[in-house]
Amino acid sequence: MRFLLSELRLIAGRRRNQAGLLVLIAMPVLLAVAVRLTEDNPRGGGPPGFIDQIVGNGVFVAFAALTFEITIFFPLAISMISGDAIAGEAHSGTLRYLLTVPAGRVRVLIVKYLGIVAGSVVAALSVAIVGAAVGAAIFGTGPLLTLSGTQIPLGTGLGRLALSALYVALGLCALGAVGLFLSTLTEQPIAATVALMVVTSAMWVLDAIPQLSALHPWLLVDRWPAFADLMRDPADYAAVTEGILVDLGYIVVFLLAAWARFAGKDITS
Amino acid sequence: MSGLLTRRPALRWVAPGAALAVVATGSQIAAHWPADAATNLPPRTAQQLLVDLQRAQPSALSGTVKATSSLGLPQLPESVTSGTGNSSPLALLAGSHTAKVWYDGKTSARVALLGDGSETDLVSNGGGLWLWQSADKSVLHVPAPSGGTQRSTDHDKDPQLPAELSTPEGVASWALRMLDPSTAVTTSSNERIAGRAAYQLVLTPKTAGTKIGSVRISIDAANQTPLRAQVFAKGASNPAINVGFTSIDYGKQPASRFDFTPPPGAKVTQATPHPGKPKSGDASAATTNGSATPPKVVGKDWASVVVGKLPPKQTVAKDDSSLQQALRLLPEASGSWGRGHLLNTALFTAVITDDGRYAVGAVPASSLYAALGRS
Repeated sequence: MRFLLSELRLIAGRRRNQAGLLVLIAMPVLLAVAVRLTEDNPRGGGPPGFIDQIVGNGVFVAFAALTFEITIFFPLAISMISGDAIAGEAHSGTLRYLLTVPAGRVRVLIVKYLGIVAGSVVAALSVAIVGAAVGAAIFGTGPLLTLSGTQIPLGTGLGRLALSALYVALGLCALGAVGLFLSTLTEQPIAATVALMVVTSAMWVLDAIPQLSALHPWLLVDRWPAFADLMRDPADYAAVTEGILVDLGYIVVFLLAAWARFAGKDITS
Repeated sequence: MSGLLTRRPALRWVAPGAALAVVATGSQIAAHWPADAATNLPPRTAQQLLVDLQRAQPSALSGTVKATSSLGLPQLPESVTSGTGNSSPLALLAGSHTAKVWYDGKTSARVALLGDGSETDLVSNGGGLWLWQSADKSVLHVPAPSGGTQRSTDHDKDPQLPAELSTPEGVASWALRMLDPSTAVTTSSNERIAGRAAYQLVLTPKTAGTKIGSVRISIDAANQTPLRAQVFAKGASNPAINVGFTSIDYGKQPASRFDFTPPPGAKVTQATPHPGKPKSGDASAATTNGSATPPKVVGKDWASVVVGKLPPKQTVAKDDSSLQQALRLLPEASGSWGRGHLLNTALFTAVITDDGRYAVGAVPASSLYAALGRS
């Protein structure tokens, strides 16, 4: 437990992680201000996601921010944390000290992964909370307009926002499992970070090619934007459930792969 | 155990490998599980199935419908089709789409066409017909005709009809006789669709002049609700059009499901229906105000071809450039009938000539050319 607390303190204390979190929560603020300034012409560029509805209800700033950040910003944050997890320790030569303290390799791996999980949850929740708060302050709130053209009370809407944020966080945890595995492969944290970003971008590209539709259900990112289905009336949980199963599958497979690699690895630095 | 793993570290990789195998096979089994369950239904003939269909009481239900069309058209990337909103009816022509359906068994229904972060809803209730599009927050309202809100889905019993048609058995045998010269009506092996045991009715065109191989309609064995319709091209083993329930629940639906109030901020358009015709306003409007000659039908039954002339106004319309561009993507064809562009899909073909004539049919292109030449 103490080990986990010190790991969390280590992650939270890193300047680059603090700056990353600032960038993440700056996005909804930027979004809200931009929409506010162009309010006269709300239907400017196109119809992405929930932007049109921000003017009517500030809570949609949070949904729009989650939709935007899920493609690049969130994966980038997770790449950074997971790159530091094992490869970072190996690079700075602290990994062997970590293991000479009587802490088993499995325990090190578990604590490192819990650190990534904490990072994912904090990232998704803070964007949702900051987005809802800033949006509410600028545009006000009230009943939320669903995609089905009906309205749901604010309380229900906030509940669905919380579910959406947790769903996004679980997706990031699954990405973090892949990142942890990549982190055990190398001693260069930057290599692990870049590799995870390459994996993420490649999955987004594959997901956008309709000819590969048979492959799409197997891609981690395919169901990530499905939390928009929660804003239907009644909420549609089918795609979200599939997304959760895919996330869990990735978590199990890649954590075991990380264990297989890390437990048998020669620690030389 | 740990000693074995220390001696042979590579053995550890069995664990993630096994997990991957379990996940892969598990998902496949889950995906195919209901379809593989055996169905044991007493055999029924095509005529008995038609009688069942006539007798069926519409039941309240909710479910998910999946429509897949593989007409052999090139599939466009989502970014291209999203210009019109990928839950718009236009985008339905290609790819795969999901809709949620609610029906109260009488007059109220709701269909929600699901897009990526968008939705198109069609609600029919006592207040008329509502069309909601989330992409541009627009509402189209067609009020119910003032004569009354009950719009019976059953066939109105016309006193002029022959007595034969007053019983379900009579209608079934009449339908079979009408279909008989052109179509073979048979049954096929029973299937399990959306977890329900279902009979399958197969309509097979007898003529060789059509591209349609067969039409298969699956009917719930318990309450005769049509569960799936498939259209096969000739010689194809996979359906070109497949519309069916992926999940269905029978039972009373909450009345609030069929309520619709335009949300604040939505653009509401009121449409005045034609008297006695509560729906499909634009189809009838197009034929009434078009100065074009009414289209002709050449050929009969499955091999019929619709030949006509595009209204001249439309050919100089403003958005014509996009139509022209789309036309240019199609292969050119020419012959004794003239010159034009050919749209050739698995199920139907269409020709638009350079001088504004068109021909459409579920037939090979050569039949279209013949029909154009004759008209």
